[in-house]
Amino acid sequence: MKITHEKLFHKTTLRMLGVIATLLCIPYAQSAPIDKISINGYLSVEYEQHVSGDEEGDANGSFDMDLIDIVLNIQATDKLRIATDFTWEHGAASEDGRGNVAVEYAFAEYSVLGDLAKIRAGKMFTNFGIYNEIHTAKPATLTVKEPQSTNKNNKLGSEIRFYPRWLTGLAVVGNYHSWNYALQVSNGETEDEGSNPYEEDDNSHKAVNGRIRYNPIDALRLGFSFYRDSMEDPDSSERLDINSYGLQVEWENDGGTGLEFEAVTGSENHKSGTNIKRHAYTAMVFQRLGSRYTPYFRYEHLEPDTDTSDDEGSVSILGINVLIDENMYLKFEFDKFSTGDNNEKYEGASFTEFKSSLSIGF
Amino acid sequence: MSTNNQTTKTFEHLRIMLTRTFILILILASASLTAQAGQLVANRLVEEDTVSSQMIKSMFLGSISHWQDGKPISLCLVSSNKPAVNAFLKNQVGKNERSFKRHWTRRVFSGDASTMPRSFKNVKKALNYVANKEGAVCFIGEFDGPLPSVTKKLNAAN
Repeated sequence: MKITHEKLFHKTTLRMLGVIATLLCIPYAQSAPIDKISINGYLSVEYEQHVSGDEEGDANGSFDMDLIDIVLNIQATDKLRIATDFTWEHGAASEDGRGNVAVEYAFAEYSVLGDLAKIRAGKMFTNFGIYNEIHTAKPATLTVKEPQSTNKNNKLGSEIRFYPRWLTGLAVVGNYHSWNYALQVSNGETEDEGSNPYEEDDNSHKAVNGRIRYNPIDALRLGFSFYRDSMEDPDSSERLDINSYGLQVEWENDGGTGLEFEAVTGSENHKSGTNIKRHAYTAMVFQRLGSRYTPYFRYEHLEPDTDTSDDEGSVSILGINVLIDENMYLKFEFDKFSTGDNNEKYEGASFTEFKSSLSIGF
Repeated sequence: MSTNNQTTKTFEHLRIMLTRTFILILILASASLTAQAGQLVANRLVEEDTVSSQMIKSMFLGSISHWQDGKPISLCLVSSNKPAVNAFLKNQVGKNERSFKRHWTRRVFSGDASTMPRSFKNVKKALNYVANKEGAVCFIGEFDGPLPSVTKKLNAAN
């Protein structure tokens, strides 16, 4: 089993390097000169250590070569763009089966009505909320990690996420004045570890999700997202419906005072009989001090099942983001976790962790 | 009769003086506004000669990514003149410098945009970029020198 995993890992890495090498050779072909190709990326190194409270988190204190991502864009024609993001996470080393190598997204985008409508096909981030599409892009976020309660609720007590990180399918995206929208149809997610939803759907239902954003004024952006899917219930092999709805508010005034708020509510409807209603929210305030320092405070809350008492989880984060150089940030924060006794992940544990990261965009 | 003529002449002289002063004030105010706003320079092949304030904003926020003829828009800024750039971003784009960068970082890393606006340390390099990049448009701040023949000033209309 290990050999298979290593082979797959090695094969994936070789394929990705092959794709990059091929792309770098493209300038010598007639169809895509070098000025049609953009290379960007980001790197993140983290340190985490348990500070106080119950025995959870990283007691030893660890450095984490979190990730390095290469973002490639090829403007193949005036209307056609190929976009992809390759990631090497946690010091990926295929020989030892360590870390993770992945394609975060790889899609073709064709403009059918200018900026009003562009069609995408491929693997994409799920367009939901504020953070999902930038959850690995640490230079683009103030905090060390994205909110757990609304974005990776399975790490704070939920069994299944409100929506998957990625999906494979079709999308239509566009802008009109102060409006921005995205609509995606995809295979959705699978809870069966043996199958690959980016290759094959394990059921005939297609996931549908979307988001609409509106800027009523320059300083304010409002958003509404939804995600709906039916998948096979891993426990009963019957149908499981996932419905999630999100509301987002982002505001920052000229003085650098900012606010972010996101709420998600939804349900897991198991055909076997169990219906779970759940909701979560996250709220953050920050204040830019000059061009370098941005202290922030964020509160996250998750109610994994409204019919189960004392299962909630919450995180309070106090930290500072320091701009060191162009697109280079240092972040320091204390994360205080508090959970109820019936919380599936932490079972009543309360503890504080120190988190720090160096994030560089290029 | 002579007194009347004198009075009429005085009023006429005063009217002309006031008109000239008003025109002078308008010209000075206009020049001052232009100097504050700085210049937008585009590649000569860009069909548009004039763009609206809304168009400038949409271009620099990425919500409009193509010219009317379908060519992709490539953006740049001359970062050496900070006050002019900051004033442009605030007044025309509605962002401060850091939120503008954050906006574009998010767009590119999420896959929404292919590239961030280029930032040049001096006007010469920016003009060279605009001259060689079809569809390029650049905010170069205040600049009195001659523009390369393959570039043109993009006028802003309200």
